[in-house]
Amino acid sequence: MKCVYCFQPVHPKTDWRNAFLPGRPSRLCEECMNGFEVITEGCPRCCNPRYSETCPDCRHDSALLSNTSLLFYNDFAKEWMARFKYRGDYELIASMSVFLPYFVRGKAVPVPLSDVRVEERGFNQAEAITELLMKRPRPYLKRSHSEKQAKKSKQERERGANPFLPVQQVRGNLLLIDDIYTTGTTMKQAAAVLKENGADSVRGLTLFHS
Amino acid sequence: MFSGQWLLKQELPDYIDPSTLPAHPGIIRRQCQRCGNKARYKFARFPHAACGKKCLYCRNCILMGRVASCEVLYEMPSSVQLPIPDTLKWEGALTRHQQHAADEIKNTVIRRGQLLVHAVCGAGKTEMIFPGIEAALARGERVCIATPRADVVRELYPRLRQAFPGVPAAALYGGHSAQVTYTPVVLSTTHQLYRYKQAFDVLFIDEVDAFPYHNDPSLQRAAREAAKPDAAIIHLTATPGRKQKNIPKVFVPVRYHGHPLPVPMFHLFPRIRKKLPHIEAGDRQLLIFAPTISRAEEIAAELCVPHVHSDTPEREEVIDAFRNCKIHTLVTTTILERGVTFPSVDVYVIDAGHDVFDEAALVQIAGRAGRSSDDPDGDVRFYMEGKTDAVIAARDAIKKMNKRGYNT
Repeated sequence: MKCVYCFQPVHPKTDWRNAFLPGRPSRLCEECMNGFEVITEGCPRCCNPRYSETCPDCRHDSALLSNTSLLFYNDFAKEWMARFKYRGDYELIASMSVFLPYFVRGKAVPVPLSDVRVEERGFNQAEAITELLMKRPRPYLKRSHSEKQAKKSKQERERGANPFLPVQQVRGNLLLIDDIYTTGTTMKQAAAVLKENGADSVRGLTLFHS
Repeated sequence: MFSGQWLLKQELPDYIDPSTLPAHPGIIRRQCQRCGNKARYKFARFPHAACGKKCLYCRNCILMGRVASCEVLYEMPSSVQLPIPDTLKWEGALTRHQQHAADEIKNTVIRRGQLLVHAVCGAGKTEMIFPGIEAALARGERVCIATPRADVVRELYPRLRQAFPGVPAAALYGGHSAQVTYTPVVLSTTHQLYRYKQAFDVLFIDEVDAFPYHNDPSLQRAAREAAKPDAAIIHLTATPGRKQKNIPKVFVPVRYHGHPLPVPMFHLFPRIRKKLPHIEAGDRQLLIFAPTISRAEEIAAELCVPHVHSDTPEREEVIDAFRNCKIHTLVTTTILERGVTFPSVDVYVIDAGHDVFDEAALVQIAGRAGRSSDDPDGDVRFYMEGKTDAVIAARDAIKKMNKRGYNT
């Protein structure tokens, strides 16, 4: 088998953990796997790895109950993301399967992209993650077109109007899914719209936390 | 610059209407039409929002944008190029050996076909191709100089501009912004050739045996496709491999300043993997080669000097600083083994017995020393645990080239 990221052959190792039962299949070679840093400790509400207690951003209440991020957004992850999201290498999402939890609660709501962005990229990266979690994506939200968040400062992001629009009334506990949590503005805006339209609680799951 | 390229829809310049261009399907029979990739594991499917189906796309050339089966590549039309006479403004003189090779190159440009120029390190390969380029431009032909290394492109570009001041030229390498006008001379990395189809009448491939070109069939195919079917293809190298055996060949055994190549000295040093030998700073600048990136970092930390490797973000600045003598000692990996010229350096190789240093790499590394006529010698030292076949073969090859140079 070839590594999904660098195309070098992968040599699976046998040890006591996988000698009798096969472990989780990894599509990454060991070197690429070591490029990612798993977040083990962080802010209990948003997983910000720079804090061990509640971080300043999370001290005031927001519609987003909590957020889980899996990996630190280091230089290796940035390169991975550039290839996955901006170059459009969809298959790379398979390399994330080892880092994802086996099971997560809640109805999965991938953060939508505007129609312009979907046409540009060809796919929605949040839906790719939802599919990898083997959850049904629920189209509860729409997004109007705006400038890329990545090109704005924190103040600009918070001042900007909420781009999300509800599609229907919702019920139950929801799980918002996105690729990266930077300031949390996107997630909080989406969570606020879901909350207003009847969600009991909204939690978040993102691959990376910068 | 765009003309002769096959571009994706998002790569097209804004002022061009895609419907006016000839379009080619992106993937035919599981072969990427841009990079020629056929390997099954380098294709994947993704749920394409535009057509609602799972579309096939190529992962080999994904870094240049996604080629999908449902999308098309637009062929940018080729412009008519008028003959440009008297373009060469370079005023240096060629030596007897250089002149011989330059004549052969010029003949190949005019007669078409292939040629391998085997010139020792520091023979002045760049100057030898100038008459060939001039001849091609005078005939109204488009010239491409391709090389596997981006550093070589960066170094060659100013020299080319100096020699041909009146000719527009473009330099293409990854991460470099594109120029829009048509240029009769294109300087590019071999990866950028993926975008060109039947665009060039004359194609120079510098350092044909360098990584990654020498063992990547898809790059070799890209080079073949970028040239027109009846193009002249000229390979340049100091260390030809086995693949270039059946091509007509011209050999330049002497450096342009006429002095022999520095022969490497062997220093056996049993603990080289762990410890550094005592390195004293001489008058010349010092270039230290390390086998791996991590080892380069260790050595640089121990000697308190800068280092460059393929992942260094400020690589260009460090190399420029070293070239301008602002840095005395530089630690590097094999990225600087070829194509770069520093006027007066000593070269030390740490752990020359390591697998990454094959014969060609060691010959090239030894060729970094003594490249200027003011200072034609340079210390070349190989520090190693024990002699390996590659090390001995490299020294023998250098001695043999020196011998051939002075017997003819």
